[in-house]
Amino acid sequence: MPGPFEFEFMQRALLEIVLLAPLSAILGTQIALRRLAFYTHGVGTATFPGLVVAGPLGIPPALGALAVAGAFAGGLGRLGRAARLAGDSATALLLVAALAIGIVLASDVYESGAGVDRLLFGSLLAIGTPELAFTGAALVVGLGAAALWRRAWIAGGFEPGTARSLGMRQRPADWGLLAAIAVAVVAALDAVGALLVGAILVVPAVTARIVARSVRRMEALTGVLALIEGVAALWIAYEVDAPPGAVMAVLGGAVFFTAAVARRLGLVGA
Amino acid sequence: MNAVLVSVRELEAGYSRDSAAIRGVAFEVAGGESVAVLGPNGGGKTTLFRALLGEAPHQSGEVRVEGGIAYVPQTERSRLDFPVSALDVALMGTYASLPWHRRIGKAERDRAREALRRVGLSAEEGTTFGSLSGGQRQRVLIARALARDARVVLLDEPLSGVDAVSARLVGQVLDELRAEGRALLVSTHDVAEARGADKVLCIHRDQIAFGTPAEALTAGALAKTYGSELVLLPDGSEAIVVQHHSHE
Repeated sequence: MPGPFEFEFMQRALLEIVLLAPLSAILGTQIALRRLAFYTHGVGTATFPGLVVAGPLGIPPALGALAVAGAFAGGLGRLGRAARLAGDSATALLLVAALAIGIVLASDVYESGAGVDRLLFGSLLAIGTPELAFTGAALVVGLGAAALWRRAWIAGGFEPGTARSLGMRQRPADWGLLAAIAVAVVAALDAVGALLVGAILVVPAVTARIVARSVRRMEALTGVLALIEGVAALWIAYEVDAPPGAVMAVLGGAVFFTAAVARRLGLVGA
Repeated sequence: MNAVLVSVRELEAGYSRDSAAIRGVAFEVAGGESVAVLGPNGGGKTTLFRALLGEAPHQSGEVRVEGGIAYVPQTERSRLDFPVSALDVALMGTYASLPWHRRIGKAERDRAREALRRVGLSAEEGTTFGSLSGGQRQRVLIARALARDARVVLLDEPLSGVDAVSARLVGQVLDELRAEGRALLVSTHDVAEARGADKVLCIHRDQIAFGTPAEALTAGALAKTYGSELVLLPDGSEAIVVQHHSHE
C-alpha cells in the first residue's frame, strides 16, 4: 500500500469508501434523478435522536439511527398523504421534529453531547469492523433493492405515475427506494456525518448527470467519481490533518463546478 | 364479432371518497374496435383511463380488461431532462415481461426497435427523449405501448399538438393495431376526430352517450357533453371550443 494507506486505520477507511462508492452509484443516481437530495439530507440529520438514545439504551448507534431513519421514511409517506403536503414540506416538518426531540433528549434527558459529534461529522478515520459490516450490509440492501425495482425507479422517474400502465407496481418500488436510501445514509453517517452525507450520496451523482447521456452511464460515472473523490479526500485529509468528510465535500464541489463550467463552454454535455 | 376485451358496468370512480369524478359509465369494446372517448377538459376522460388501469379507485361498478392494457399518456407527463433515449423509453414497454432477475437482452431490444420502426423512428433510437420534437415524443410513447404488446391500448389525446407527419404516422399505426384485433380507446375533445372511430363514448362526469358516431354524436348529446363550450358553425355542423388542457 502506498503512502498513508500502509496504516490499518487508513485501510479500513479505504474499504469503507470502496463499499460506499457502489452504493452512491446505485442510489445516488436515483437520488439525483428522482429529486430526493433533500430527503437524503433530511433522513441523515433526523437520525439524531436515535444516536442520542443508543448509548444509554446499550444498543449500537447504527441501530438507533436506523430505527429513526425507518420511522422518518415511513412517516414521510403517511404525513404527505394525511396532510396533503408536498414531499419537501413533509420532509422539513419531520426533520424539525426529529431534531427538536434529539436536542431535548441530548441536553435535558441524557445530558450527553456525544451523539452530536457523531451525527455532524462522522469519523472515517476511526471506522471499525462493525461499521464496515454495516456498510457491507447496506450495500447488499442497495443491490437487492436495485435488482427488484431499478426498472420501476427509472420508469417512474421518467414519467411519474406511469409504472402501473407498464405492468409494474410503483408504490413498493418507491418505498423500497426510500428505505434503501435511509439504510445507505445511516451507513454513510459513520464516514462523513449527517452534514456531509450528500458529499458521497448526492454530489458525485449530480456531477455525473452533467456529462452522462444514459442512466447506466450516469451510474458508472457516479461510482467512479465517488471512489476517486473518496480516496483522494482520504489521502489529502491524512497529509494536511483535516476531516476527510469535509475534504471530500470540497473536492466533490470542485469537480462539480469544473464539470458545470465545461458544459457551459460546450466541452461536455448530456 | 371479435371477443369483448373491455367491459365496464355502472362504474363510479374518483380520488375523493365524497364525490366521484365519473358516474354511471357502462360500455364494451371488442377486439379490432376503436372507441373515441369524447368530452371536455375536466370531464372525466383521464379518470376513466386511470380507472381502467386500476389507478383510480372504483367506488362502485365493475371493470374487466382482457389481454393486458397499455397506456399512451400525453407527453407533458414525461420529464424531458431525464437521461433516456428513444430506445430506452420503448424498452420500458418490455419491462413487465421480464422477471426481476433477468437483464434486458437482444429479444427485448429487437421488440423495442421494431416498435420504433413502426412509428417511423428507427433513425432516432439513440436520440435523447427530451431532444425530440413533440410529435416524435408522442410516437416514442406509442412505440413503448407497442413494445408492451397489450390487447387493449388507451391513448390520451394522441394527436393533440403533434405535427402533420406525426399525425399521419400515428393514424397509420392506430389502423394497424385495429387490424391486428386490438381494442383502442382514444380520448379526444375533437368531434371531427371522434367521427372517425368505430364507436364514441361521450362523457361529462356522467356518461352521456355510447354507440356508433351516428348514434352518439347527436346535437343533444353534444350539448350535454360540452354545455356552453359548444359552438354551432353557420352550416349547422358542430365545432368545439378547445380549452387549455388540464388533467382532472
